[in-house]
Amino acid sequence: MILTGFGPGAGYRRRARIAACPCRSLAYPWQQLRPEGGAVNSRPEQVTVASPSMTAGQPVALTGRTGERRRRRSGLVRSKARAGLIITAPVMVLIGLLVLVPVIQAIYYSFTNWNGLTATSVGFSNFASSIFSGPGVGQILLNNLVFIVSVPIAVGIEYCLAYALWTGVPGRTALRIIYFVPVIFSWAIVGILFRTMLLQFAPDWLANPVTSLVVLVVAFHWTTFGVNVLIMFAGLSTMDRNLIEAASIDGAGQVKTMLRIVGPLMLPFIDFALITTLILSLTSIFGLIYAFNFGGPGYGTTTMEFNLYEDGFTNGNFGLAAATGILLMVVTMLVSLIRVIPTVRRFRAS
Amino acid sequence: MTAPTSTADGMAIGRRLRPGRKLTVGALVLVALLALGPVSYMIIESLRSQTGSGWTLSNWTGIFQNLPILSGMENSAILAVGSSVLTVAVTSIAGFAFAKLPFRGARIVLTVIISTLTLPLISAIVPEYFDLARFGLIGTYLPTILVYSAFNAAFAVIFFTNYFLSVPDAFIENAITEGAGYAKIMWRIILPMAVPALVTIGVLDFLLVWNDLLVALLFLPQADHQTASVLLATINAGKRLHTQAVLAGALLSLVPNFVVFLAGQRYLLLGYSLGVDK
Amino acid sequence: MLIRSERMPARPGSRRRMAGATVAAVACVAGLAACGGGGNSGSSGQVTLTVWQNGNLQDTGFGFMTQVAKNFEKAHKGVTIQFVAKPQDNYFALLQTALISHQGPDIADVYAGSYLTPLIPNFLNLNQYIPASIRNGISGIAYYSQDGDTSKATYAIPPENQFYNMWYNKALFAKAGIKAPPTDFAQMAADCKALSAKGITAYADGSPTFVTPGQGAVQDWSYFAGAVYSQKQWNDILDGSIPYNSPALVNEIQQWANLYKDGCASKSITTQNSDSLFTSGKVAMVMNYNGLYPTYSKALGSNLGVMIPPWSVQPQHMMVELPGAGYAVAKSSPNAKLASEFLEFTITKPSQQVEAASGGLPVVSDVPAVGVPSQLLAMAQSGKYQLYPMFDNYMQQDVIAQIDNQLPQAFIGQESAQAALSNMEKAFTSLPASERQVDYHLGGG
Repeated sequence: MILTGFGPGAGYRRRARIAACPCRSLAYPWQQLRPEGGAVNSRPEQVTVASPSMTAGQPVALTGRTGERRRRRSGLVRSKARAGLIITAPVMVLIGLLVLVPVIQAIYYSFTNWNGLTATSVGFSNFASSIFSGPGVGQILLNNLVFIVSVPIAVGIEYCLAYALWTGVPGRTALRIIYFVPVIFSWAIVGILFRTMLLQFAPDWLANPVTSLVVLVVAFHWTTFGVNVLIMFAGLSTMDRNLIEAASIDGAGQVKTMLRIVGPLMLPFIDFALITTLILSLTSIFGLIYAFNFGGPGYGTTTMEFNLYEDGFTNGNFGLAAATGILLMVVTMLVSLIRVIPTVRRFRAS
Repeated sequence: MTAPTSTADGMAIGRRLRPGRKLTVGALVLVALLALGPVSYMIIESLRSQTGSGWTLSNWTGIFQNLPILSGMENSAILAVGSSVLTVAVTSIAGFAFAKLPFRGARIVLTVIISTLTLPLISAIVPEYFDLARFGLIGTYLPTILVYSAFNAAFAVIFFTNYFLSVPDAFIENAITEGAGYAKIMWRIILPMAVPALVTIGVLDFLLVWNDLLVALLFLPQADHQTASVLLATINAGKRLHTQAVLAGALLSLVPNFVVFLAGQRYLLLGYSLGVDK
Repeated sequence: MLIRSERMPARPGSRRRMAGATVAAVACVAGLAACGGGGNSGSSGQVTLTVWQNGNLQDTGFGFMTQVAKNFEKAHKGVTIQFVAKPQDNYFALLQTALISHQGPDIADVYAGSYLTPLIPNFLNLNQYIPASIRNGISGIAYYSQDGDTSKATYAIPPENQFYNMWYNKALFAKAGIKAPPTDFAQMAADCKALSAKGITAYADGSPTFVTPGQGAVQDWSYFAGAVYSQKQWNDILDGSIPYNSPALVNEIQQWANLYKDGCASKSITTQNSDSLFTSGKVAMVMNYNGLYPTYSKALGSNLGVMIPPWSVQPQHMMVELPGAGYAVAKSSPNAKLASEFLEFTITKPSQQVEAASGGLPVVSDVPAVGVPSQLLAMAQSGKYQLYPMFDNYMQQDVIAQIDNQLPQAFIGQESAQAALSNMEKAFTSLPASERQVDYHLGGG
């Protein structure tokens, strides 16, 4: 239930980020040995100093990033390449067959009326149905929107919590662990738990779409806040503590420091938390909705993701389900990209 | 300035921060109470008698008669352990290879893998289901494990690639030229060095799979193959169980999660910083 | 037909979860115990006929099928009949794929109408083995035949008849001075007042095991549609000529919702259990099919009465009768002939008598029903009421899903009747044209 949508931003960011912040990496034993880093994409061996024990025939290593193409592919390189290919083959096959192929099929089937056996082409009508004309779409899209709006608010609060922890609170490790406890709950159990609490203390709330949705969103953030606090705490831990000292000497208040000084430096982590939580709410809370109130009352707690399951596996309308899946995928990609572009610009500029 | 300005774990200590301290600590503690509140509710309710009055251990002593939670947890364990072991095994070596054993097209492959992070499971689940159904593989463990691993693999590959990129080549070059085979290098030298990373991914994937509902619900429909998640989520559709019994079952199914989490939690901080910073 | 959920008050789950999907999933892999392979004509004359049951046999129905099966086994040495309970969510999906991959059972439990239609290519035409003289007299066989005509082709045999009706507590009625059950909305409202005056809740709907409020609005739905439209007009609804949110239907839902608004129905829909409210004597009326007879009669004894839901502005003129489940033989079964013989056996007089004794409703005319349900049969045979099937059996899954999703919301006033039915209409119009062109020739139309 965590991390399913963990990486998109991280993935892209990895390509672009060049360490330029006053950050201090956590100490690995070998980091003192690490050569001056170039961009992450560099082939590390290209910057290694040639060792005298290398066999003759090895070209002199070139510093800098390029060079692989200029080199003759020596025996060692070839054997490395062969080994590399063989070793990465399993993961390539796994992802290729079980992720890429089904997604491509989903794109195909989204344009069809598919009952699992036969698929007849219907153009864009599945997409239209999913966004405009299907039953309950207004409520469904609204529910998704409510989640989307709730995420920045929640992440903001989580940042404050992480910052507060970082400023040196006694028992912070214990607190961090406590915050993380909800994270290890399965979505189904969270759903059952909140449903049970509602039935006991406010039974009519489950019959009311507005209150049901509110509790659902609260349940979602209750589960995920520990992860985000941890992420941002990890990021804060890489910050140079001198900043804080400097800021407080300059007379900056704590809140100002948190927002104006440390905040901008923490943007990668905040972005990360934002993106992953957003994508999680869009694509990975099936279990929560299922166990909480099965999308009800009416469409009160149904999101696009849950409606996909209903359309497909309850109603047998698999083309429509595939189309909804493609829409969700597009939204996921857009969300990742939107946050990545300013990040890329930020680091190009620095 | 000789006063300490940070603790050993990099925490900032500022002399000016004290005034708002009480409020801050108060807020943090309040949040902790909110986090634990529902959990305490679960525990308390599970000790309540099903007739509504009084306290009892019967929900716990009768837990295995009330609901097949043991079988559910066995199935969850098969999937979670199987998938996390498979993911760690396959992606750690792949990460090493991407970092240290370049081959033609590696960059493209890595790009593709990174971009699959944007492909959520829900978008692929319908064709995935039918692809497996066509070959009669619905209802079996191994294909389900493979599906889980496939969708967790991308993040893990990136994670391990990053991790191994931080390892200086000198280590590996020496070992290679001393005639060690790649398998030996990986087994003897690299993997021991990568234990924090292996544990991080192992723990994360274990939790992800154990806690999943959608895949388990669809791909293991038989009553005796239901995971704990599926069992608890569909319990209202089955026997009429009192909530106290259900909560006890849910708590029991959380125990492995707690254990795994506590065992691996000191690595998680490392894990998150690696995953994000890069 | 979501009869099965009624059959299993102990195991309901959300209606929506239980709608059978016409879709493929394989459940059977060689070696799975639950996989009833296509029977076996093994050595030494031992034959096992596998029967897939939608849900648990003990929960679904009166249990007479096990006795009937035993009788058949006695008459046919070496034959064993094995009932395999399949999960209700996904039942039709599992069945479809199992049949296609020839790993299905010999005999499968199926619902009539749109549940059966996609599976027909997998099923044997039973006319091959069961003579017309036997088939012709069976109630409801039309629903399992091609174009409603058993002489054309028959794909399943329904051994059990079913009615959808309401039950009432005679003692509570007497207490409120109600002489006869209400027959229209106005009388229902009046009787509600009388009951409320005595502190009795008139009507219960809902169940805590249903995640959305409503016991099963599919039952009410047939009555709404039948009160204002003839069966022939149902064909028009099914192909879209009459919209689901027509003024007549909106009015029906509105009248029904007024009952809740006026305090006729118990309020806490998410937490209550209508069945137990009725059996404990807390409410006077409850909606459920005849399968609840053993449960209700055990609780209320001679105070148990049957009535037809008064969901009509005019005095009620219809009742819903549909043998909900039929048994079909897989074409791929190596024991097709024997399986057909078994199905024929279930509709012979002795078997039907076993059924009647258990409280079920026979499908043959020369076996009388017992107890309170026999009143339903009498009503059906009296000619006073037009007999309709269950409407949802003929609707597309997407639209059926709206019944339980939306109608209860209208009932408790969370949504307007117009909005609820408009969502049903939307579900219909969003379907591709091929899905909307259905032709079941209901009512001979």
